Amino acid sequence: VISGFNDGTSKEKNGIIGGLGERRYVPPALIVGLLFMLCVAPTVVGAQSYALHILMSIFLFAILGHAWNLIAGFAGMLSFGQQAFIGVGGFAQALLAYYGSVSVWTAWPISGLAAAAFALLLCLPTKARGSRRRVVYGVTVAVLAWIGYEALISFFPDADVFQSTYVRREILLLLVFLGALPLMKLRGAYFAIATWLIAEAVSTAFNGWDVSGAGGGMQLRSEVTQLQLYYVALALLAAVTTVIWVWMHSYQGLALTAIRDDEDAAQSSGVDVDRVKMLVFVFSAAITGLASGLYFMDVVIITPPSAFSISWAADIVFVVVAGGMGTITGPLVGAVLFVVIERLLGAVAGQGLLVLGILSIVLMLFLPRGVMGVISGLSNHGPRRRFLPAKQSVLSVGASSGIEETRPRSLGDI
Amino acid sequence: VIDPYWALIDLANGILTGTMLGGSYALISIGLALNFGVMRLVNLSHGDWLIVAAYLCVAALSAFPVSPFAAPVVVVPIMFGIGYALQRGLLNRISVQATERKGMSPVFAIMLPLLVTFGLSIVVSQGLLAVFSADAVTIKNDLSFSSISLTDDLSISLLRFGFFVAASVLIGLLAAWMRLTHVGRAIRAAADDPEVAALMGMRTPHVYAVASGLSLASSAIAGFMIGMLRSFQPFDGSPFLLTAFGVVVIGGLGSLGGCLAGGIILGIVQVLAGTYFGAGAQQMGGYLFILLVLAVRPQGLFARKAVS
Repeated sequence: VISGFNDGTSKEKNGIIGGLGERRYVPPALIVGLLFMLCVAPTVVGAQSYALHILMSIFLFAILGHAWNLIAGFAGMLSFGQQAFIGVGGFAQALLAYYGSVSVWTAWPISGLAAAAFALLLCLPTKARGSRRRVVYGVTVAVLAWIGYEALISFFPDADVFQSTYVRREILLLLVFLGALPLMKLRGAYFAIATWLIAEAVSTAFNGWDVSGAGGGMQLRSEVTQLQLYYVALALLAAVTTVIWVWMHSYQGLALTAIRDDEDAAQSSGVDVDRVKMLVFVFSAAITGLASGLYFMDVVIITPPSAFSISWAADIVFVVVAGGMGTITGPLVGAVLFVVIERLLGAVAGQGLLVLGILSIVLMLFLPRGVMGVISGLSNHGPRRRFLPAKQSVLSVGASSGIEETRPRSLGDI
Repeated sequence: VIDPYWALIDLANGILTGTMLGGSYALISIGLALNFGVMRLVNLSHGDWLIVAAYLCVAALSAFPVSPFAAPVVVVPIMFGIGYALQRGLLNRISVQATERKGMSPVFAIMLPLLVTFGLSIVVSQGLLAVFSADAVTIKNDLSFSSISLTDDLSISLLRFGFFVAASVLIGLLAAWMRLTHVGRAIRAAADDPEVAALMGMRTPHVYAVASGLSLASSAIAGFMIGMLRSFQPFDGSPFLLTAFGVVVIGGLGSLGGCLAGGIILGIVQVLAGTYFGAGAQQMGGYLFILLVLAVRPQGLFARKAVS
């Protein structure tokens, strides 16, 4: 099935930018060594040091970058609304920790779950095509549940979690509306702006909700230490990177890039487009939510303007664009660049974000493959090439390749 | 008990205020519609250029303290120049044709302009912050509280009415200019088919740059309006972008007349939502309405082709 996508595509049209992919061979010893160094780093630089905090920020932005890279770089869905998941995840954690009186760590998983649930809501109706009847059923059920809830709280006012008639109706209407919205049907600029609008709408709802502190936000009890956050962020990053690596080298991952490169062709070749897109969108939201949970444990205070700010999207876009869209190592390298420029240089000279903005435009114009794209491009022509199997070079040309080779090893080859 | 007279006044007031608000919405979306209609470019930095124009008006007026209405005379040509240069220097390099020449995949060709203009939006707003600081400013004028009384209980703001007229006139002029002048015809030709237009001997990069200059020139008038009506800060651009995009989508992509219709519809929806469901619902109602149109009729409520 997958091999069919190679036919008729020239070398230039392969991958998201053109022959993009990681052909560079990363020796396992390097990965193990790096992980080991990062594990012992706290004992070297000190558990309370600023350097450790910088490293933790790098991990968090790398996770956020991974999440966005999955949907934008691998699936071709350009979203400017990741801040919706950051806000929903962060607030879910803060609400549970505050009203449930549980520790922040116990509340942490809810940040991922809430963000994933919200993403799932956005993916509804799951079938992008011929979905009108499902929408009607779904909306009917949701509205009936809503009416039931209104009836319930008219008898038991204490059961109302919204504590304000207007906010209750606003949030429930928003949820029903977002559930009925076929977001996955939208493409290109429409998808980009729609995700942005959704984040703004959710932000507006949180801004008026007294339970979540309205505009003033909420405070998380700061019982976590920097050392705990560091190790959890590192573990999460390692897990996410591994999952994405395995995923992108599996049938599912290949199906994903096939959808990105030609959705209709993928559909007609038997890829369940809606299911694959939904899976990647929900997974991306879940890890964004988890990273956001860790981030707000660190900064302690969460407010709607900070959690739903469009500057999140700007930061994440830079991380991925600088590192290389559609590559697995890209977000890792991009996060290092981002934190170094924004946190370190920005703190010294100011204008960190201005530099980042200019840099991201220059990168898009002249190095659209990002840093990792350039490195893997160089390695194609350098001595590294001998690490690649002989078949690889035939595949990467993309000429009548796939009959015998059904599982290309490199992502750029489909 | 609902008094039918006041219910009627509420409704009439909502529609009237909404229509006037729609005029401002139309004004802020003309630039985006031009970009979209001619270059097929969704310029995500559009909102920030409005704020740039507003700041330029304030700066011009602090240098030459004359009537505020003289500010656009200076700012419109400056913004036209910025638009022309921006298109020649940056945006022409990320057009669909340019990405095809570079051999990039079609998926990336869709993403590149969005990513670059999104980056541009950060650069512009951060640049404004660096130059003008984060303090809220406004264009001082003595018309802010003037209004026209229609009946004892109905009145509209004089400024809003003025800008509604300005939006209608500007749209009419632009549409006539597109139809009647040589350059206007060239822009329409390049919008319809850039390759054939180039084969006919048109310098499409120049034509696009003129269109982009016009887009920012109309944004200059919109920025002037923003400064006259409210106070603003360097980061206020993105809500205007979202509103303008909504207006352009509702009105039918890239159609200039559609801007006015889309603006008025969005304005009325927002004001009525605010009237009947409380002030907070105004913003939310607008967002939901735009999302609804995006989902149900992405070609716009009055589907039309290209730029009128």
